[in-house]
Formats: sequence, structure tokens, C-alpha cells
Amino acid sequence: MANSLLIVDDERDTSESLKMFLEMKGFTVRIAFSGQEGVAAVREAVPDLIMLDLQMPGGMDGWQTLKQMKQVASSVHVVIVTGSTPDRGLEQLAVQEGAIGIITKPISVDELVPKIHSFLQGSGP
Amino acid sequence: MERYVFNAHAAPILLTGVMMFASGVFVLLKRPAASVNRNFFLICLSVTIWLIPTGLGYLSIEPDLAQLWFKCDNFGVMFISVTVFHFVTSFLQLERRRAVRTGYLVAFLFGLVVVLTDWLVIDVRKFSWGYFPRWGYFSIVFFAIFFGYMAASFNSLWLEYRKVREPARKNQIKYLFLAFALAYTGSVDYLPTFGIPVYPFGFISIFLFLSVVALTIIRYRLMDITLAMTRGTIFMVVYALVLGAPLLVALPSQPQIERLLGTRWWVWLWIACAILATVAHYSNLYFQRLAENRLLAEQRRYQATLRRASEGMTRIRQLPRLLKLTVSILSKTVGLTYAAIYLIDMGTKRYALQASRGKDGQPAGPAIEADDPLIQYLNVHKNAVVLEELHLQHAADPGLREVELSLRHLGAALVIPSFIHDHLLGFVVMGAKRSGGIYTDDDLKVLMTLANQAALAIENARFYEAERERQAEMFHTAQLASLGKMAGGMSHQINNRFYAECIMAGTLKGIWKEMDLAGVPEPVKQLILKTMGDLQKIENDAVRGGDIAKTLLNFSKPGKAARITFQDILKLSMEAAQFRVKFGEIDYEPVVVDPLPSLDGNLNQLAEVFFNLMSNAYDAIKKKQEAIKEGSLKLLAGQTYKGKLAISVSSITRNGVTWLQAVVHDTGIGVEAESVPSMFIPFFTTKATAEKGTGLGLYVIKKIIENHGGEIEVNSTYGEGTTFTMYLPVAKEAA
Repeated sequence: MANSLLIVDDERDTSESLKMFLEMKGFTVRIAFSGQEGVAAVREAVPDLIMLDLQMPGGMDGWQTLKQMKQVASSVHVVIVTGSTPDRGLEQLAVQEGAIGIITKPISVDELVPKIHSFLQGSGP
Repeated sequence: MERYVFNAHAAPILLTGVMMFASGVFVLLKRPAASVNRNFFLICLSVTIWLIPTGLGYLSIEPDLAQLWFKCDNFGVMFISVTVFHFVTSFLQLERRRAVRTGYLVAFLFGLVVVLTDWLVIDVRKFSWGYFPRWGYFSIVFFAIFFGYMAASFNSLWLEYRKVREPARKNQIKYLFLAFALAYTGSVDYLPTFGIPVYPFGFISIFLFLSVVALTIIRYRLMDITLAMTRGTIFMVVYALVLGAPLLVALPSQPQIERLLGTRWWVWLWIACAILATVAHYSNLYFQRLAENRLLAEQRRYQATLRRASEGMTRIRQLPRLLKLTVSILSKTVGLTYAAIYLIDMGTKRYALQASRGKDGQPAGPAIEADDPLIQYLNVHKNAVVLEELHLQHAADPGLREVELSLRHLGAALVIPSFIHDHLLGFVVMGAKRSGGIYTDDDLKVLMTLANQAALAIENARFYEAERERQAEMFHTAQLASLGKMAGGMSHQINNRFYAECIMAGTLKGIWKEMDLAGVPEPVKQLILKTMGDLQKIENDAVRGGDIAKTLLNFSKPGKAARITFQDILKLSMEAAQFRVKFGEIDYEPVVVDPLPSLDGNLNQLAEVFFNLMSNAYDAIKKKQEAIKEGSLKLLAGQTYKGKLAISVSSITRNGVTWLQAVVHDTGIGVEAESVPSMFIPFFTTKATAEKGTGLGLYVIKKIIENHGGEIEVNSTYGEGTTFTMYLPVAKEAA
């Protein structure tokens, strides 16, 4: 069965491109353009992995979204996607908040796919 | 029973004798180790033995007693020529030991003959000035020897004068020659011994000569004989005219004076002498000053210039300009053939040539080691070194020969040291004066003042230079920091844009790749392939742009120094590197020697250092693999290449301080020798533009290591690999 992914990012073009690419690579992909939409999508169906952008407009940033998603489905696997350079503090915070990892922007799609696979394996039952 | 009677003619002779002895002793005590001074004393001694008994002979009432004294006097005379010869040979540094020894032996034998027999001093004659000895024919043998040694002395001086090139030395020899020639007029005293009634004024010539030589040895470093001669002559003439002439007039008219002034006439004489002596003293001073002003006008002029220059020095803040100016002022105003300044290099502790002027006597080497004999000598004596003086002294102290060689090596006639807080900051090398003149005590005083002022000025300039560099550095750091902050603030925006480009370009590229292009017309197919290539380029550029932003961000990265271990650093950097470096494809050897002392540092920054080094090493290995594949790099037959990255950390002790030494070694492509020195320069990169790399990596690494109080070195050979060695200080308590 294809792994299901949820992309939460306010950048529509990017998200749609990414969806197209990842579907080509055999994933089932949904996209959400805000925190609220993301939480709603989780409520609808819990994906295998969520790629959550940290910086989003609309009063709900990545951290708040993460918190609410965890409330909806405590075992949900979330990877933080961020444009800032990762350091220990950010990693620790991500783990504390219940994320399983960080992906730093920018990242080439060729690197992204194996990364997603490794997160899926690490998060598998 | 009265044996002596007062005779005015004896007074100047006795007086000269006493002064001669005193000046001989004085010169000897000034520098007992120097053979020139010792031999000068011997001349004085023999002349004293000649003069004092002669005076006593004048005073004697009985001819027999007078003859005894004259025998004694001639005992001294026997030695005069050989002591002169001895002095000249030591002054010219000639090896004439046998001649000197023979001379002393012969003089002694003659002395015995003179004292014990009547062969030389047959008897005495009564002249208008008193008794004087009569010499027999035996004295002809003595004259032969006397003239022989004197001729040898003059000849040696003459030969040396023609051989020597240095103008100062030439001058010296010339004047010494003239001084001896002058002294030789003292031979007039031989005339009365053969019955010719010429007044024996030999003591005057001798006095003149000796005061000249004594003055030169003591005050003028046996150099500026012109000045000393002038001084001696003025002294003689003034005293002779003011004091001597009235006495000479008064003496023959003794009975008339006695009649005029009564039996206490000699009281008046003493009073007159006292007044005349005072007058003579002040006139002497006056004429001395007059002569000096004329003779030293040139010297005074440049000394004043130098003083003014030294006052202005501290206002110049650019070191190279200051040094150049100092050298040019010195050589112009003093009239030097050569001048140069050497300053200590704080790093190597060597004294390096900083500025020079003049063609002659260029130094052979650009730097003087701190253990050079000259440097050691300057450190001990803390005073100017005059080549001429060393030359005269080193017979007594062989160590000085080394110092002299150093001086000659530098082309120096004079070296003036500069001290700051007792440390030898540097020194000024001065060649010979163009005039051929010498460096007088006054010169040295002015030059030492100048050197001290220069030291202060140099210290000032160095401080300003360091301060300027520090400010530039601060400005640079501040620039980078603000750039970092800005980049930090914009990083989301920047990275989101790059991310969007990556994803879109990558997706489009991926879609085209999956597309079945069968049946598509060839031009369209070509266009699609071109588009795919361009999309790949866009993706690469976007990733690289993100890397640049990240590197710049390291300057604004938060995080304070904390107690950390190397395991922490390597773990964190591995985490970051694993996505870029495929450790499985190469031999990776991390070696950490446990237990290592911990260190105080910024974990993120240090992890960044190792992440970058690992990533660079990986790139280098890949590049070498490519080069082997392309055939531009050949392996030996039967060899395969996998590539190795080895990291080892250990603690070492350097100069009693414990450091953590981290070595990152790879067997990658390496760097061309000419590029190695530029590796740490910002935006220098050996990677092609299309490849990843920002050109900031190693610069940032160096800055991070230095901010931690550490050092980084690189060693690289093209085709062989690269080794980075870092030293980081251990945590304070851990040390």
C-alpha cells in the first residue's frame, strides 16, 4: 500500500509541484495551505507522515499546528520543514513538541525522497 | 748640608714629568685591558723617567749628583723608542713580538750600561739653564737603535696609512703620524749633550704630543685627532704665553726683582703665578670654545637637525614612512655612506631590515638572529657600539671579535640600539661618514637620544598600526555579523524561495524524465532535454544559494560557550553530514582518544567546522574518483581507490600548555601547492562554480577556530590528499 503523506505549507505552487512529484514517486499525497486546514486533514484521516512548514500566516504557525495535530492524533508522525538553519535548540524543541525530525529548506527533490523514506522507516510500527 | 738649589728651569720639566705620569695612569685605568692603553702608559712611564731625573739634575748643586740623575734620566730615554714602537704595533694590530721583546731587552741592557758605567753619560756641563749631561761616543750605538725603532714606527704607520681604505681610520693614522713627528722634535735635547748650547725644550714637544694622544684616547676614541690636536695646541700656546713667557722673562732678571721687591720676592712670584694661571685658564677655555665652534660647526648643525627631527618623530604614525624618514634624515644630515634600520619581528624574534639608504656596505642578510653576538652585546651594554672601538679592544676580549664581524657584516661603523622597557626594539646601522670624520662622544649622545625618540615613535606607530588593523578587523567582523543578522532575519524568505525553486524545478524535471518521448518530433525532444538540463541547474543553484545563506548565518548563530566534549562535536557534525556524505562509500575512520579533556566552546559552531571539513573531504574524494575515471589521474597498476576520511582527536602539550589536537585527513584530490596559502581567504574556492561550495567555508572555519582561541593549519598535496590540523585550548579547570 502506498504511503500517505500530508504537506502543510502556505506556498501553493510549491506544494502542488511537490505533490505531483511525490505522487509520481508512488506516494499518496494531500496538501493543506494553512495550519487549520492541516489539522482538519488529520481529523479526516491520519497520514503516515506529515511535512509541516514552520512559518505560516493566518494566526497559526507550525508549532501551534503541531500541538493541535498531536491532540487530534497523538501518534501522528510529523517532520518539521524549516527555512532556518537547524541547530540543537530547534531540534530539541521539535522533539519536545512531538515531531520526529527536521527537513531544512532548500532541499533538492532527489535528496528529499530518500529522506522521506528514512523517516517512514524510522516511524514505522 | 744643602744639595739642591732652586732653579726655575727645572719647574716645567718636573711639572711635565708629573703630568705625564698622571695621564699615563689615567689612560691605563680607563681601560686596563686594552693593549693600546697599556702601551701608552709605558710610553708615559719611560718619558717620566726621562723628565723627572732631568729636572732633579738641574736642581743639583754638585756635578756628581747631577751626573747620577742624568744617568737615571737616560735609563728612561733608552726605553722611549721601543715603547713608541710597541704602542704603534698594538694600535695597528701588527704582530711584532720578537722585535718588541728584543727592543725592551736592548733598552734594558743599555739602561744598565748608562747607570753603571760612564760610557754614555761621561760627565756634566754647566749651561745657562743648569747642568746638562755630556755624552760619549758610545751613544752612537744607542742612536742607531733609537732611530731604528722610531723609523720602524713611522714606516708602519705610513704603510698602514696607504693600505687602509676607511676614511676615519686613515685620518687617525695620519694624525698619529703627525703627532709622533711633532714629538720627535724633542730630540733637540740631544744637541746640548754634544756641547751645542741649544735650550733643551724637548719637554714641550713631548708634552704637546702626549696631551694630544691622551685626549684622543680618552675623549675622542682615538679618532678625531684634529680636534684633540687643536685643543692640545691651544692649551700649550695659551699657557706658554700667559704663564711661561712672563716667567722666562722674570727668571734671568732675578737679582733686579729681588732688589725691587726685597727678600720676600718669591711670595710676589707665587701671587703673580696664581693670577697668571687663572688668566691662562680662562683664556684657554675661551679659545677652546672658539676653536670648537669653528671645527665642530658642521657637527653642531646636524646635531641640531637630528634633535629637531627626533622631536617631530612621534607625530608620524605610519611605520614605514617613519623608518624611511629616519634613515634619510640620518644619512643626509650626518653625511653617511650608508644607514639602515633593523626592527624586531615579534613573531620570529629576529631583527629584520626595515629601511636602508646608501649604496656601500649593503648587508648580506636581511635578518639578524636574536642570538647573534651583536644582539647579545647590545643587550648587555645597552649603548652605542663603535666599530673602531671594538677593533681596538678585541685583542683584550676575543668575544668582541665576533661582535666586530657582525658589525662589518652589516656594513656598520656605528650601531645605535633602541630600547623600550629594557627590550631591544631594534637598532640603527650607520656606515662611515662621507667626510671621513669620526663619531665623537657628542655624536653618540645625540644619536642615542634620537634612537630613544625613534623607539618611542616606532612603538607609537606600531600601536597605531595594530589599532588600525584591529579596527579594520572589528569593522569586518561587524560587517559579517550584520550581514549574518540580516541573512538570519531573511533566511526564511530566502530559503523558502530556494525551496520553491528546488521543488518546482525538481518536480518538472522528474515529470519530464518519466515522460515517454517516443514519437515526439526530434526538435521538441531536444528542447525537452535542454529544459531538463536547465531545470537541474536551477535546482543545483537553489541548493547552493541555500548553503551560502546558511554559512553566513553561522555568524549570527545563537549559542554561548559551554563545557563540551569532542564526542558532542563529532556526533552533531555527523548528524548533519550524513545526508551529504555517503560514509558507506568511503573508508571512514573516526578516532577519538578517550578520555579527552573537555573544552569551552560553541557546540553548534564547532560542529559546523567539522561538518564542513567532512563535507569538503568527501567532495575531494569524489573529485579524485572522477579524475581517476577520466584518466587525468593515474593509479599504480593493481591499485584501486576508495577514498579515506580519517578524523583523530588527541590531547597534546605544547610549551607546557595542553591543547586538543584534531586532525581531519582525507586522501582526496588535494590542492595545488600554489593555492594552499590562499585556502583560508574568503571567497577563495577551488571548486568549479557549478559545484557546491560558497568559498566562505574555510574562512568561516578559521574564524570559528580562532574565536575559540585555537589555530588551524592545512597541508595539502595535489593528487594525494589534504590534512587539516586544529588546536583548541582545553577548558580552564580541565587544563
